[in-house]
Amino acid sequence: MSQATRRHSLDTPPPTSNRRRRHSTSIIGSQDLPPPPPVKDTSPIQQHEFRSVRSSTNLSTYNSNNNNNSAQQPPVSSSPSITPAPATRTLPTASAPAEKPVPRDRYGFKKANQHITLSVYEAWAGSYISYVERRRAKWILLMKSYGLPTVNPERFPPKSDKVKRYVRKGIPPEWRGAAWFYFAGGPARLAQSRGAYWECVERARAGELSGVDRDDIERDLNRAFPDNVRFKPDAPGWDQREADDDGQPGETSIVRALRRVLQAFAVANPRIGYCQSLNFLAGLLLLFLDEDEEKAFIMLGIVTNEHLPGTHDRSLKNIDIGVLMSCIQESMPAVWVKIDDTQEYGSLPTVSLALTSWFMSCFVGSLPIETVLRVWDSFFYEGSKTLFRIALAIFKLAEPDIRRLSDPMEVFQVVQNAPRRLVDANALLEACFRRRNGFGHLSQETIDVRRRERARAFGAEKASRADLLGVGEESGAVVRSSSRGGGRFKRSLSRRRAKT
Amino acid sequence: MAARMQQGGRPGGSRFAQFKLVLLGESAVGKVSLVLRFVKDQFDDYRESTIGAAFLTQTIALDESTTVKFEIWDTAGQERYKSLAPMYYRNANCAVVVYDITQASSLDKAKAWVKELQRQANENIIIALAGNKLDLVSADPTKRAIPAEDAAQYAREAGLLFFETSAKTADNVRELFTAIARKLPLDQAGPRSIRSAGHRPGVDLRPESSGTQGASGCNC
Repeated sequence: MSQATRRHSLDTPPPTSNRRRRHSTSIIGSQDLPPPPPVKDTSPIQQHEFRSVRSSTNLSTYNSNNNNNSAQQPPVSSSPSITPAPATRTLPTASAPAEKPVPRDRYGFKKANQHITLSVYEAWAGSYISYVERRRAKWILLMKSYGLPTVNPERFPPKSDKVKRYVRKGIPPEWRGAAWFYFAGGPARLAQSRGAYWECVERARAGELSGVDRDDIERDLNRAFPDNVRFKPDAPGWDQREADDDGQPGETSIVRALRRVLQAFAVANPRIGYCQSLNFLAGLLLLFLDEDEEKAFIMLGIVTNEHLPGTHDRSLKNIDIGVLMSCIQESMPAVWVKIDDTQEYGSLPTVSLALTSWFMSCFVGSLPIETVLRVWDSFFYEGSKTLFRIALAIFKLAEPDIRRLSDPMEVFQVVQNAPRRLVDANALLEACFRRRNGFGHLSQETIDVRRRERARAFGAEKASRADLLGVGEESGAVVRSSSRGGGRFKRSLSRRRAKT
Repeated sequence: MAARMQQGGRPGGSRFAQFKLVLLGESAVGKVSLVLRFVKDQFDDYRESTIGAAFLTQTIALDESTTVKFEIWDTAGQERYKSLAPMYYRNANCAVVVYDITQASSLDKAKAWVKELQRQANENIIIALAGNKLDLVSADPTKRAIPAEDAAQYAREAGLLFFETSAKTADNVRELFTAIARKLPLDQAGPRSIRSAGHRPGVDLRPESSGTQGASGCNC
């Protein structure tokens, strides 16, 4: 208990400077290979290695199987103040026998889940670890050839075919968040709107957030990454706060950061407010940006406004799914025949229901986490066409199964479940970008043209409704915000002001 | 066709029926948890938010000779997904509308869903109302926001099955689905083969798909 209290006092206040410093200093340089000596693997300290995804160099760092660490538990006071001292997850106590630790990957995600067994995971991870090492070595050479630092880099080489190829083969895990931010155009956005984030946090706190959005966000905070140890520690006491002005009891720091980012985003983007799936996007961004909330906020704006415009709006239109369907119809007619029930049911086939999260969550929850990260590497470098290309590649990989089936619901289950088992990220990326039968030729221009067509068609379809003019959405926002006195005018004004 | 499949596939005159079930209700009331308890007998305190919809199946034996397969559509709870709802509940034979007995507003949302189903969905849809998170109230009675009697009263008036459930402790979960199965018109349930011929999930209610007797058809 005293540990918790002490921890609490160490990093209670949200002042940004502290927060940022803490995280940036927790980064361990990792350009040196092989990974740091495994002493840490038997020390309780290693349990906050995954506080920073940059802090380890292989995929199995958080596979701690130590059950004898009570003797090594350092006194709280000896913990560095930059990283809160956790109550040890696996510390056996007199009252409760220690549970076997859950095997986790380097980011703190459980290795096994409903769709992937531990043995399947390990079989893949064995060779993938050395793949990551090889790629890292190549990246280091690349960075050096541009005279860029290889410890906590914030800048990366200018875009080129070579860099694009490197990105498609995977950004080194410890640089990933910074590279996403850089390639997505984050630095320029940050320069334009520095401080806007904290302004929005304040406005949300001051009552500009609608009651509905506030409630929806609260419900989803613990439903972002319950299988990640930084969101949901294995044992109580690890990085959990007591209740205070800033959050609920038992929350970890990243959950509180997630609340602030989602609230600020809802205030800054009244067309969207809070949309389920933003919890996944913001949560993963925070995880990889070392909980730098301002950067995560900017990235969330880039994803929702630049790459997926309209996808998260209060009135869902499913434009992207419609575009994907048109691509499938053209490139995989044999698949289309199996999923097309539009004659019976209108504009989108039933299988669309399995695809909603592919776009809204950018594959979080639909693909295994390492595969998601690889997709995001390319997504932030190349734009939304990556999501379409990957979606097509998933269908391509599932095509033999789909063609074999005749029952539409069995087809639906293949489309729903097949991607969840695609633990082999390289296989998917290869299927996506290979020259023959790949999807690298699908251009952003094609997608944007089709998006406009679909949007027009949607508009014509719904012309009788006020959606087209945005009236429906805005009035929806008014209804939602009325309890907070936000008001439509004020909200749209603030949106213009704080748009990132 | 139906009779052929049932007699051929299951000697001894056993029956097999398949139904489409849709889960509706406010966000975070425990729709996924109820389904996963029912389908996989699993529970986690926290579940990822559902985006769009998820599809699962579960087969239960009603009695020695009757097997019912549920095709379950589990849906996202957030308001803005509502425009997709007709896609979920079209051709649904039954629905479970879930609320959280510790959240007063969630029953209002459930009532709105019931109304929509009664107006828009299949005419003969069987609707069950499930007040979930009973475990929270058992642990701390002050957490209850909706008296069981109020919900039961509403369910009677609206013609719904009603259960208070706990996905966490499994209380009433199986009972809920079994009660629905018993209320479904088993004699009208078509086999999978009919639907595979190009029809959508759920039961085919066309005349030619009937052909079996519903021994335990409606005894709720």
